Amino acid sequence: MDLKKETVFGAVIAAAVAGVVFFAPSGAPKAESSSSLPSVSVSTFSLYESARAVAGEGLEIRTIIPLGSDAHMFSPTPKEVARIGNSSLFVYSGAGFESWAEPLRASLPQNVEVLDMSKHVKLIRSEETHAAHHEESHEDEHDRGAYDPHYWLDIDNMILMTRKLEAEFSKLSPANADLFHKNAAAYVAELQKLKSEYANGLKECRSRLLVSNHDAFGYLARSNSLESVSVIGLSSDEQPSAKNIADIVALVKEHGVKTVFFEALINDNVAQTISRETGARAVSLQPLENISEDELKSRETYLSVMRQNLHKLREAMECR
Amino acid sequence: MLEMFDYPFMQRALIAGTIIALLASLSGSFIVLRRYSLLSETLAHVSLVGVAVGILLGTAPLWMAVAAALAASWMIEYLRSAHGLYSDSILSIFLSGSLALSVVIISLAGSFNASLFSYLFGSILSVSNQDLWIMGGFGAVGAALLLVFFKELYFIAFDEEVARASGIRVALLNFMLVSVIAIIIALSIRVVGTLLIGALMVIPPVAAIRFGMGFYPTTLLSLVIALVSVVVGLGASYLYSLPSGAAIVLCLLAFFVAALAINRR
Repeated sequence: MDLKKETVFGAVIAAAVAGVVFFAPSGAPKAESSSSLPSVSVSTFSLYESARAVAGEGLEIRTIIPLGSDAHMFSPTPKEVARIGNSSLFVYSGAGFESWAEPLRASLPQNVEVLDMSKHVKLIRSEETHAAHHEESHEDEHDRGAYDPHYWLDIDNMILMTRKLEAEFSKLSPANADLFHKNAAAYVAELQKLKSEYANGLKECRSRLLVSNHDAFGYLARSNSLESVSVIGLSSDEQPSAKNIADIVALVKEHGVKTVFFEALINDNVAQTISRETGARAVSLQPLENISEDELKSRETYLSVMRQNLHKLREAMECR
Repeated sequence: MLEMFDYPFMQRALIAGTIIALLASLSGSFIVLRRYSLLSETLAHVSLVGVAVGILLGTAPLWMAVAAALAASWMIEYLRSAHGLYSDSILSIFLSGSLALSVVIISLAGSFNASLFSYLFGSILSVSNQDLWIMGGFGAVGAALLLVFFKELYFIAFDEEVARASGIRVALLNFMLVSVIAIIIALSIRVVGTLLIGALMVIPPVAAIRFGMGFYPTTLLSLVIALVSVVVGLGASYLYSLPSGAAIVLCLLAFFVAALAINRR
């Protein structure tokens, strides 16, 4: 028996040495380029939509968070990190939305430009639904977490994002600046059109109360002068307190709210509970953190999903 | 195959993993022998309280985690030795208690906090050079302490009463051991995550002990198992796009199963 053990012991040590030698780091990094175009890595769906619209055929746009997965639960695999490292530009949403992006920043190669998009849009604080406009970006780390990261639901921010990407892309590939400018203008025009649809669609409504299970909709509410009330904090994996649910139930009953919204892609226990307690319908609203497999198959875009959301809002609030 | 380690981030992940594997398996053998395995799991969850406090106050979560883990490790050791409570029940109280505390603190922070989630599974792929220096520095001190008192610690792990009778300063060494472990764990959770550090501490010694060799070869074997798992786990994680921390733990499990199979009693 002893002989066997020593053999095994020796074999394990040998395997270890072989393994280390086999995997041993060697040489310099080589860029794996699938095309001659400079590539841009973007993290979220809204960034991807805007980037794709601006870049057209002029750049290679790659998403980091796979379409169809829960953006909150995502964490990059080695190949994804390598891909980010091989990009010319890495754009992430920021304001605490991707917990993996900040630590990654420090470990990326020097030649990768990094853009934290939240520094270039108008953010609102998470505690105050009626927060004042937040004009300039904050460098103060202490405040970072206090902003609501779902800023792409305000169409004005989507326009700011598009313009910022145009500027960055033009720096990256000056030869294509005209193309980017033309594409950005076209997409902004689309966004403006969507904005006026929202303005008209939500002008005269019986109720202006938006009740949801997750306050991802603060921007949507504020930019359309709706009042947003939600059951839990900003992160979808938080658990609500009993009092919080009771407050919302009371509010729903008091205002005769007929629809309670829950976030698509997230479990809707809380919305269902409120629905049972009050008799209000539970309807899903898409916060566009990402899109689902089915939406991906049916070629949904930021614009089309926002229109679906508008339709649901109009029904819930009984708008004319 | 080899090109995966051409990437600086993979090299840093490998170095970080190596440092942690070394320290975890070295200190792990003492806690496994003392039926104290859950200490690593408990301190990892206590570190999470430190992280939550750090996020709430906007200070460095890493150092808060170290402080929390140290304080808890002393409390646990004090309760175990002075009050004669069962160590497993103390550990389980601290484990669930600290998890509850960190969830409450995070909700008080009232901000969007997926960042706590990143501590559950760690992010070995975004280790920076600064992280490596911190881990290397503390790791060197920790490893030195463990190696200097290796004989005494082994003696205590084997039989605390006899060790005390033969004049070894048991209480002091016990506090030193839990402190070193607390620091190792607090510094590791950002890299391998709260849910996985326990595996790196416990599985290699347990698998190595199955071979029934002396203490030194057993420790050496557990070190090798931990190191190989880190390398192979990272490699598999790259090749098959698996979550890195989990791939490492599955490798460890494979070793454990192999050790059981080879040493059927």
